[in-house]
Amino acid sequence: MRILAGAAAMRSVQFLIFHKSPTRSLLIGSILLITVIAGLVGLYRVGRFPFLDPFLKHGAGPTASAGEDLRAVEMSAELPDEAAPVPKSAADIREEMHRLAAWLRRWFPDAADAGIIAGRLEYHLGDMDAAEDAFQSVLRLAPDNVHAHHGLALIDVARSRFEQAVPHFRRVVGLSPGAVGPMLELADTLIRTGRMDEAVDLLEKDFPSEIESVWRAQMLGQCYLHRGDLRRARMMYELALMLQPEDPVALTGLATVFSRLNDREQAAAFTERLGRVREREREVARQTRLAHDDAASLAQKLAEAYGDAGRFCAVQGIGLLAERLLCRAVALRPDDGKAHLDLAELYLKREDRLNDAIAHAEAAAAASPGAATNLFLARTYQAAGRSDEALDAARKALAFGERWPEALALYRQLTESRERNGSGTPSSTSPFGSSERP
Amino acid sequence: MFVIAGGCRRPTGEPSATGPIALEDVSDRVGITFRHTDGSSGRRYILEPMSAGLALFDYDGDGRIDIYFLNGAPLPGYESSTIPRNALWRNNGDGTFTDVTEQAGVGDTGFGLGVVVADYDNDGHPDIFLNNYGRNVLYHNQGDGTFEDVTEKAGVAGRDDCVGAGAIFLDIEGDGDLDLYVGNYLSFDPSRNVERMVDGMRHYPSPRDYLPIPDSLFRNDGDGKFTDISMESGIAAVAGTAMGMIAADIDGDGDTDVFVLNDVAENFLFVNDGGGRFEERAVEAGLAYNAQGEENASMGVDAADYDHDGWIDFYMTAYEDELTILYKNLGGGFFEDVTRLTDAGQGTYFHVNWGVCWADFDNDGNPDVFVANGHTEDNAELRRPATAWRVANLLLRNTGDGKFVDVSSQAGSGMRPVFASRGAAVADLDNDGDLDLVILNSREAPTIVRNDTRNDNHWVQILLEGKTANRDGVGSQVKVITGELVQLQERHAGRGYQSHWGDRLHFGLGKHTKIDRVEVRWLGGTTEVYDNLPVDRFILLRQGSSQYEVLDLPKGRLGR
Repeated sequence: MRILAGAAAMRSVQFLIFHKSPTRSLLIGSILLITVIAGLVGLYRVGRFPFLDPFLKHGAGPTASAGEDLRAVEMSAELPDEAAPVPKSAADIREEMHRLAAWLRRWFPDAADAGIIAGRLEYHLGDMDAAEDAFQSVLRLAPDNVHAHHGLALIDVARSRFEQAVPHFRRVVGLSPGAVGPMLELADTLIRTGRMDEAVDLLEKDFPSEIESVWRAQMLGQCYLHRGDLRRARMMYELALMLQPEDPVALTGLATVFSRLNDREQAAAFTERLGRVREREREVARQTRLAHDDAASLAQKLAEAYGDAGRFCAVQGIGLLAERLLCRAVALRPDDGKAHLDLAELYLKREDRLNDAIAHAEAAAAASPGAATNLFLARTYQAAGRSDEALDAARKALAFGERWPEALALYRQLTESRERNGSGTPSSTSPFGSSERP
Repeated sequence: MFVIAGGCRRPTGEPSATGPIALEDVSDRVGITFRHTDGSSGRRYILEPMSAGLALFDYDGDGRIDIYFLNGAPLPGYESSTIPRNALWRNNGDGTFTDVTEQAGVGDTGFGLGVVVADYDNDGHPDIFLNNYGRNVLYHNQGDGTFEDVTEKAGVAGRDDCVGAGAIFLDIEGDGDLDLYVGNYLSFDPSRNVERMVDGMRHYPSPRDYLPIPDSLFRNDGDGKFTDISMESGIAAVAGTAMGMIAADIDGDGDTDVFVLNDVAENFLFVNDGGGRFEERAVEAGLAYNAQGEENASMGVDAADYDHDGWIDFYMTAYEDELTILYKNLGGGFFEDVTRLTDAGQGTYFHVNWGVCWADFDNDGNPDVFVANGHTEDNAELRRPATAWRVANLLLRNTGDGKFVDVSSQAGSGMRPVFASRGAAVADLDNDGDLDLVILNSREAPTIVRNDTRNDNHWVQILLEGKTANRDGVGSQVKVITGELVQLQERHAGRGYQSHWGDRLHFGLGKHTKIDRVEVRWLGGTTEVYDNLPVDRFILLRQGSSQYEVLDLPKGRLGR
């Protein structure tokens, strides 16, 4: 697998959700979110949360005890209600971020996932001390929490405490076998602490050989340049350039290598090429700045936090809160496919909210078209007895090529059911009619 | 609008220094009443936070180092009953200073950014060049404690739309007189101000919102006039957003090269061919970017051979979310960012850093680093608690084994003032053999710091007097050898954040009680050697003379 956008993507990981770049934040936030969700779902599926079964199978409200309901009502009183206006100014959004972090820490002091969400919010707000405190609290609850170690490592890096970051990164690598992002981050930190040999070992020996990463090539180039091994440095920078033809780091490295080799002509050629790349970068940055909307990027971070918190509450079985939090996420960011999907899931379990489930499932499929959202939409339509639309959504799910067996099974189930009920006459059991897979 | 409260000084009763370096804040005991203004009124013109540098030099030849502060000037919207001006404070030697601006005739009211001092006409008296927004100024020292504005006569006024930056005097072709390099930040017109909002708050624009412009190089014609040779020298071949700069022989070929920091852009290294023609080669030399190949918002730069390998290294300050950078000279003009390897960037990441000085505060023979901190935004703390408009400064001690340790919190009251600092400069203000500090603080009074370090270490301060080389010896290199310890320094005119200091080269000597040898490589000429010199003295070395002269400079005080 090729990571053509390796450098950018991996550096996004390095700065996690905390950096100001919306793209980086979105990417990393998504990765972490998916990991959290997958972990929680996985745990649920293997029976680690049996107490959730009644809630998840039968809906939130009816299963909660009267005491729990009261507590949920009390807790939700501190959250913006459905009629609360969406904050527009950056200052108001920051204020709401502060409130959400405080709320999570107040009501869920013993929940690692809540601590992680609060820690990320603190970091977005630039409060390193509070973020560090939140992640440390999580580690006291769950010493192997990968997100807490990662958060602490990145705080250490941001504070130039590279030596302290190394053990946290090592834990992350150990807890995420096969994940290349943490490995690259660890290598970068080792380089920053001057442990070039360890970094080279990690990148040359431990890094999966089938993965080509620009960042890895850049770092190896840097290590070899530091060692004075100009031949290997050149090879690595050329590899980076092959993977990313206008990579400025590789161009800089090659200019330096050729300069040290006294090849002035080559050095000048790479410098000139670099100059053009930098000029373009500057223009893009200038345009980006012109179009930059601080409030929008902050609102996105806040929406992500509400989404995470909503999912957390859903897993905790506090449906009332989950609904409130997810609704807020959607209000802040109407194109948040994940939040729509989660809301649809919540409503699907409540017969009186089936139409809401359909609306959110449709919104999810529109915001994040894919196999998962269309599969869910198909099931939602199926639950509502809208078989034609269910069939159509199942067909769309198949078109994405992911989760193929699941989509195909649903499609067949729907067509067979339709034939049995005589509610339609599909031309064939092939979802594509012509048997041609798109 | 964000309300600005005053900065803070050390509360009384706090413990003094507990570390190897002891610095005492004597700001309120020296009689200096200067207060900086940036001419701001909330409109956030990009040049406001860039003001200003300062100069430490002996303007009247009495053997005591005096202080010249730059000041801002009213920008549109600014209202004040008084007109801000630069200020020259004479060192009385009794611990206090006297404002002699009017008598000396150096109270320029332009928007001050950078300053450099050198004897450009070799008459034995230091002259002042001011790099302003708008008209620059050249003050010629008349030798009687007064200066004459000779800007137009010299032809160095510059452009009205140009926001200045650092400036340096250097002898580009080794002909014995000093030429002038003038950094240009950008072209600016208040009526076309760029407005920015970040996190819903007003924010200064980026230099990238403006077009970069080339710097200027003026050749000294030797008759009091300068000729603009920016184009033919190769300097104008590239355009940047200059900030701090320094001239030094980075490749050991005997001529003077120029290292220019650019704000949010790659740095420039102008390599001299020996005849005053330059080629920009920062990328090839490893000085354009940091170790990760990223551009920095570079601010100030100073030079020293911190690891005693015989090559001049650079320490550079930068913006918030960037580390300062220590560029180690690998030899032959190739550099490596060793900030992380040496821990030289600790404590700098979250803050905007400006002034920077290499200075051996404890006289152990290893130059330490002082960094002046303070944000560009006076509401920075509202956006991000990790930093602030006013921030304490930073002191990194060179341990002598290639590492640096943050000793700020152990260095006493001198490191406790919390301001939005800009230019910083070091000199032995009380002639007691250790280096004191002066820091210009934006919108506030300056910080004056006395070095109270007590140990058994020795020192020497060397003054140069060129004959065929320029009289100040600018660009000449001095090697001081004491046993195994070989120290190298170069005489600079203009350094740090748009500031000037270092007319006397200060060497800490550790426990060595004698100097085995001093070698002077005069710019454009010979190398001269002096053996068996005393320690704890001020020594004058004249080009062409085999004898050194021990100067009897008046001992003084710093602070009542």
